Amino acid sequence: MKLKQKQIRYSIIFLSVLMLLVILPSFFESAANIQNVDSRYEGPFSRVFVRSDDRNLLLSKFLLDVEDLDRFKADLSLLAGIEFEEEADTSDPSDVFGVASSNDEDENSASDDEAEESDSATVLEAIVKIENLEAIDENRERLEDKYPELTSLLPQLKKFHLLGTDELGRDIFFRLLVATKNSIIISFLVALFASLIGILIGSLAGYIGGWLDLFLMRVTDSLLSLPLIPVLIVVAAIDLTKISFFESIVDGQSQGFIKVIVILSLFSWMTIARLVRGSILHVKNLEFVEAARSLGASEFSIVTQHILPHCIAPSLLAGSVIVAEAILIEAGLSFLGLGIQPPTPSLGNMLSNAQEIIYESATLAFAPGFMIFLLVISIQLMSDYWQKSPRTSN
Amino acid sequence: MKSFFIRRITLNLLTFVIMSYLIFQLMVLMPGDPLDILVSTSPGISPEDIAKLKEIYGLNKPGWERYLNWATEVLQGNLGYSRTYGVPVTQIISSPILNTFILASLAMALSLFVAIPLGVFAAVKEGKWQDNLLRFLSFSWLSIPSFWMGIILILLFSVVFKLLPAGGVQTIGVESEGLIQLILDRISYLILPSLSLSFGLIGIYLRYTRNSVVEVLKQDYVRTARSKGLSQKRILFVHVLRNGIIPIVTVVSISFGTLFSGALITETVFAYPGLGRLIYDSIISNDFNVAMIALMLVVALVLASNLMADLLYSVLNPRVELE
Repeated sequence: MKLKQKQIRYSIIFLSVLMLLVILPSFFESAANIQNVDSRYEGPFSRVFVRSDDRNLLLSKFLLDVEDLDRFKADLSLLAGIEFEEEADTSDPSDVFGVASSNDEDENSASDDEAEESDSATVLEAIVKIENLEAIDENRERLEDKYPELTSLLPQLKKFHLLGTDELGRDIFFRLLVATKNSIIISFLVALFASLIGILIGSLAGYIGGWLDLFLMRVTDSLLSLPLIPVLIVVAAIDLTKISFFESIVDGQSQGFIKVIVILSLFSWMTIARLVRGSILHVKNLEFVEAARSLGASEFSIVTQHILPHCIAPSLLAGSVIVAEAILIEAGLSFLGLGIQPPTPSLGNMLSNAQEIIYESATLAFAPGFMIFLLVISIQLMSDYWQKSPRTSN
Repeated sequence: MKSFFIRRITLNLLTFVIMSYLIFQLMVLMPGDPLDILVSTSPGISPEDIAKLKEIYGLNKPGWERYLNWATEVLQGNLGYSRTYGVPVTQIISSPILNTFILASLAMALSLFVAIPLGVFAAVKEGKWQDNLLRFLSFSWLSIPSFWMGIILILLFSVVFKLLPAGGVQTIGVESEGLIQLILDRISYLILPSLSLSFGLIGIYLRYTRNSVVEVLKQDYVRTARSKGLSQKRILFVHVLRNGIIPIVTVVSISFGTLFSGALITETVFAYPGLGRLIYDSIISNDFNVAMIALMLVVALVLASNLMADLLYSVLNPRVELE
């Protein structure tokens, strides 16, 4: 397969985008797993407070820096015009919670906690008010001059969610990136293994021929005509640890990954096997093979060095289709709850309860599916583009 | 020809038996064995009792022996009981078969009905923008995950526009309103599932129709027909389509597997009580007997439809010699 200059350029761009999609999300892996129950189902482009314990930590640090809360409050009203309601009003509701939550704790520490909590609640309230004040730059500048910690505190307190948050308050965008990475890795590994199996079986069937060919092609055809998903569901439901071979390499977290890759590879090598067999049947009686044989080349080297290179182009094309199909099937399996298990995000399991949450968060039901669509169609179009390349060799 | 079909049927039967053995062994590997539920619900049971029960049900025997026992039972017409519902498998399995058959054939008909005209159109306009647009569309239809498509369709047609029901087979109590009402009602429940099921198939068939018709259009006999002064319509429908459709039969025969795969996911999304959903539910709830029979039914259906397609192929294309 000879590609034109332009095609090579496009292919490199395409592959590097895929590489980026694999490499970049590794940096967000931890960010994608931060839960925040206070801000579930936030809409896209939302800025919400970070988790309450992180928030309290930040606020208590700030309180230590400020030292005198009353002075801070006075400054607030003086410089920014922020007035506070009377202590009794604000502390009353927190009192209820304080008592309710610290029932079994020691009396002293409970009251300490309470005081600290109400202090940080006051600062939080002040900060919300400062945020609202954002338009009035002067006041804010004056405040930040006096309390330099504020400048660093404010952006730390709130987090921006590009696509909003899911049912556990996790950032959908980061999860989507990590899920995309998982999907790409799985599907490429599947295509790799499936190609290896397919090339092996195809070349055995094509080169040796006879009853082996008949048998292998019969197996290929019947696997090809099988209803894939029902069979995959059975295979996906099996417990890998019941097989001694997998027992050593599989643990709870990676079981989903390994299972999906193994299953999909085992059920998607058929097209490649047929292609390879076809091109071997075509090539094996050509003159150059005969020449190699008459020069004394071994059977193995004839197959690997003279025949298989002719199968590379069609297998690459079939492989790219396998990648696309693997993404779709993996998503389907994970959607049914049999593929990648949460909390590891995958494009399918992000959608697994999309039907229930579609009213809560439309992005959560829409984004992963659209991502699957984008991935699959770009791979399909790319393989179609390669297919159209003028073949001068072969 | 006769010997060909005898050979094909024996090969298919062999495939069927091997598949049933493999699937049986896979089921054995699934977590939990048939006694687990019984054991967990009766705390007073002793290890000796469990061993005895295993002895009675043959669960301590090796896999192939269990398979032979199961197969002889099935061949004698005893399909066993569903563990979840406590009724014979034959009772559970009959209505899902019919439901899935209706859904699958509707989706198949719909996709052929849409894809073949579009494919011929794309082939006639080869290289023009219509062709490119249709190619892009067929790739998009292939690339949309069917469950997501289902969710979007539900959102559009049953939540926003409130035109069609979101799932199920029929409205409760519609039988009393007469046969026509019942049929209309059932059709309204079938529209969304068959739409979402047919999208992927449309993508496949459209591409194959287009490519095959493009090939046929370059044939000499088409040029002859054109030089005879036949109208474009007559050339397309009489000369081109009859030859161009033959490869589609092969693709259709291969895609029965895809159809049943898609049906499983579609049925799950639309809560449609078909065979696919039955397979899924029974595997999830460890209902071994039902899962086994339902799966083997799907495999049998696929094998039988492949055989049918082969027969149809030889009828449509007399040039093919079946040996």
